[in-house]
Amino acid sequence: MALSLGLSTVQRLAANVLDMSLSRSLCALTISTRRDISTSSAAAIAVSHPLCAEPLKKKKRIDPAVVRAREERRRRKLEKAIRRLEKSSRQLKPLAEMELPREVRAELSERRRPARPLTTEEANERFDLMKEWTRHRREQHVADVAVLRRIQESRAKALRELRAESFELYCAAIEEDPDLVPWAHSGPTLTPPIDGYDAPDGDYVDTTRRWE
Amino acid sequence: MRLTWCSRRLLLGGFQFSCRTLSQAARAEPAPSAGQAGPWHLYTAVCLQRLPVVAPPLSEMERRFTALLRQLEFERSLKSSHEIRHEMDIATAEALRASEGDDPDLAEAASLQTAADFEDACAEELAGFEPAPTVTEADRAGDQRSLQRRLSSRLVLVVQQRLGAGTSWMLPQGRHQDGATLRQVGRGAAGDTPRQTAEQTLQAMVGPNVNAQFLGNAPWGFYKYKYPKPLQQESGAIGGKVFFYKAVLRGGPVEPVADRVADHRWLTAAELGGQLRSGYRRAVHRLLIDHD
Repeated sequence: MALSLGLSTVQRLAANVLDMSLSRSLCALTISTRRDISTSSAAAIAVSHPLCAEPLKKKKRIDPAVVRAREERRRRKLEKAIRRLEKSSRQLKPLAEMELPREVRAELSERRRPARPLTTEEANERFDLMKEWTRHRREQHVADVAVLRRIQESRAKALRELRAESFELYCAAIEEDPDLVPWAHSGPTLTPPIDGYDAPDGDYVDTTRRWE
Repeated sequence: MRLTWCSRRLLLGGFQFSCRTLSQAARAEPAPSAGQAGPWHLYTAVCLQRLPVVAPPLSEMERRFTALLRQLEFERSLKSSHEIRHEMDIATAEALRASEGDDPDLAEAASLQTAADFEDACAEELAGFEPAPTVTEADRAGDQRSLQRRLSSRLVLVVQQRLGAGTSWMLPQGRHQDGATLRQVGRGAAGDTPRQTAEQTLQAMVGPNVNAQFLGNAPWGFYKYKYPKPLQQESGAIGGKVFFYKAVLRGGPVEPVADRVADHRWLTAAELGGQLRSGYRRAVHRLLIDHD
């Protein structure tokens, strides 16, 4: 109808409006108005290259209950997956150095020592020695605590006196010292180091694998 | 109330906070105690320690218990490959003796190095190593200026410091010059912190090449003493307040500076008593670990 009327403007018409068989590809239909005088109105119609697009589907309204059910299912699935992973992380991993080597485990029967039963005197001696040791260690601990307390009190007194003397100096004294931590010290050895010692084995390089 | 809360936090110590807000909130600098007219000079002293190089020998109790632990560990253990090899060597030797040298395989097996041979070779190699002695020359000579003495104890540096005309045995001590005229909160432009004074004191006494690690910004001990009367009048101060700082000797040469220090000694906590005056010694003793 519009064609026969001969419209003055250039219009693009969707193909599916004119012809349902062209619904796969959208072609732009143009009606040129340059040639107003023509023997056939069909000459003014030209079809462009297919644009290969579909119009957007009409959005169907989904029941909110269905939506909620879907969300719930998705959440439950994720939680299950998380629980499975966490269970794996809670399991204790075997330490290679804490297990018996394969070869030793195979010969376990030959490797066991014959059990030598203890006499009563020996058992009593061991028991008494362990008790004595516990007492000795406790005394050491009590002495350590006394020493530490004495040193702490000396420091508290020094800080009190410093505060009484000068508040600014006290402020400076109780600031954190960033160089103090981490503290590193290679502790006492059994024998003192030998000056200029050349180890015949060479140097030891620590090749422990670290996972960090 | 805010004042008490601030003071409590200060006394607990160690927390990082802004001095400025606290000093504004707590202008609670106590007035000088009654009966003492005049200021005190502040000093910082350094307790420089050489840590133990060698572990002390086991006591009787420790030796007995170590023996018991070794025994228990042996009884509960499995045989090692070395022991198995040793047993097999014995069995081979027995079999060889029983067969009277007929079996060539046994003879070959017996001719290889046995476990016992291997042990002997190891023991020989160990005997070839000479460890350094734990009791050194300096111990035998009793050289108290040496750092190689008493390797299993801590040693503290004590110096014979020149004070005015005379000298006195003490820990290296230096006067703290606080920037009283340019007083700012915290570190003033003119004044150092007591710890900085302590570091400068140490370098002034024993040379700049000493490598000492100071243990924190706070002092560890306190000692107060009065000047003699003429000095009080001359200096305008009643006496001195000494704040002790601890440091650990990490290395570097200790070279006492001759015009500040006449002599120096490295002493254990027990030996300090012989060198220092009683009140001062007590103050120093309180901040030392004196197990050894």
